[in-house]
Amino acid sequence: MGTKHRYPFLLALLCGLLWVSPALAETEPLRLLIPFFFGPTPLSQHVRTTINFEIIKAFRAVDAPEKGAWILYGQEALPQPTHDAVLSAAAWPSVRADLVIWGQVYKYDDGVVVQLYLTLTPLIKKRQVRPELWTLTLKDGRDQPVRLELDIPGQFYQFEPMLLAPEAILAFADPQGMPLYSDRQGGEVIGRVGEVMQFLEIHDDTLLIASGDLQGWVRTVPLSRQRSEAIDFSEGMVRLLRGDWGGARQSFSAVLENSSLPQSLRIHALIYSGLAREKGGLSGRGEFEAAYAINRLDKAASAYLLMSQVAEIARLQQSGAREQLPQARQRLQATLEATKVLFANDDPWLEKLRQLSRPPD
Amino acid sequence: MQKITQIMYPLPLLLAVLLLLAQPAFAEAPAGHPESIDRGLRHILVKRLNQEGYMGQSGNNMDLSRGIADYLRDNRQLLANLDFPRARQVDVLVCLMVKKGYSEFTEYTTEIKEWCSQIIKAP
Repeated sequence: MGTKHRYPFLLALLCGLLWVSPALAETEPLRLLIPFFFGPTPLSQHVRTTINFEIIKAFRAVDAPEKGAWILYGQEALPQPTHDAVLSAAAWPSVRADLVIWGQVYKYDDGVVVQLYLTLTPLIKKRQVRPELWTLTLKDGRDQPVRLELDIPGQFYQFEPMLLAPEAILAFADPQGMPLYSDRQGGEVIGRVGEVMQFLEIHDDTLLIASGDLQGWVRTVPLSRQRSEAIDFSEGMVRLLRGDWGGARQSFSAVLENSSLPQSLRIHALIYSGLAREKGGLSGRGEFEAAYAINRLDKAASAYLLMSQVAEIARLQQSGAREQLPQARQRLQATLEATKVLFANDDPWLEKLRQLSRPPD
Repeated sequence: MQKITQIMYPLPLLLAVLLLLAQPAFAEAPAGHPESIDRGLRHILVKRLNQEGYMGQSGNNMDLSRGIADYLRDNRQLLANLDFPRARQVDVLVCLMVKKGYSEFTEYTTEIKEWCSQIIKAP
């Protein structure tokens, strides 16, 4: 290609990037706070650092729509181990966290028991990019456009206690200070991680980190001999909020493999798994039906089941399979009838569903 | 031809910068570190610090850290309590900005109004 032809091409590319880059630059990265863990020090802080490096693995996918993520490690103890105290800490101007992973640590025989919690803060709703919101726009029986939106159901999660082997716990109070190695395996210590670090590569056992003028590898150890639903669920939530649908499905599938999962967590894991499927262009109806079957009085499970039936109508409208629309509308009507007691009679969201379930005049 | 070459010369650099902006970044820092400030808050902080002559030429993270520290030092007569940890510098700064009547900071103080009233000297 000659210079003459290259010039307009590069100019067009530059204009395109100039148009796109402000939007990307303005997009706020997801902000995750991991404060001091409650429990005997320095053990509780060592456990916090260990969990911190485990959660980073949720950032492995780089094709998510939002612009990265910040992990903020708290350097002050929270006043109380409650969700309210956590919400308050997350709202400080210096923090402004969208979600918080926090915990309490107890010594137990030769190991350590960690009780983990996940708190989603109201700041999530202020993010400019919200991949987790499920929105559908379709036409009702009168050919009028109807827009439906459904937000994620949970705000607070408490997980089953997790047993950590002593050898799995990193001996560092804060992520800073950990040794940086010159190579992924072997090699020598070239320095220590500083206050601010950027993750360049994320693997199961190692992380390539840039910190100050240094770039090197941090080595982690397997967290637990068994998979933990707390870690899988938290990673799944991070992935969902980043719009990493494949990663979210993988994490929530791992959560659902645990046969002793508490009912409320199972329902939400099914909902999030179904949501990740729908967002990824697949049907999540199976997951929503399973969530609804566990507890027919669960409002979130009902709402997601209804939404999936609307999504099915939308898919039929788009594919032109109009002969199947009456059946799909009947299914929606039947679910509406069965679940209406869970919603206020004048709920505008429900009214839109009624509008969509009506056959054409 | 020479003109075109001159125009094209900085293009690769510009493209690299713009592509870098588009890359997702995964980073970690202590809560309260100036580099990790929420983007919206950072934007208005930099603007006000710049207006008051506390931001350096480059406007980078080091400038911001220095600007915050200098601003707090120069306004210490307004502070009732100087004994706060480094992680709270940004919070104190936000309290000061509200005290000075910069209304764009009000939404950030919902959670810390009472704390601000302890940090800032009563009139």
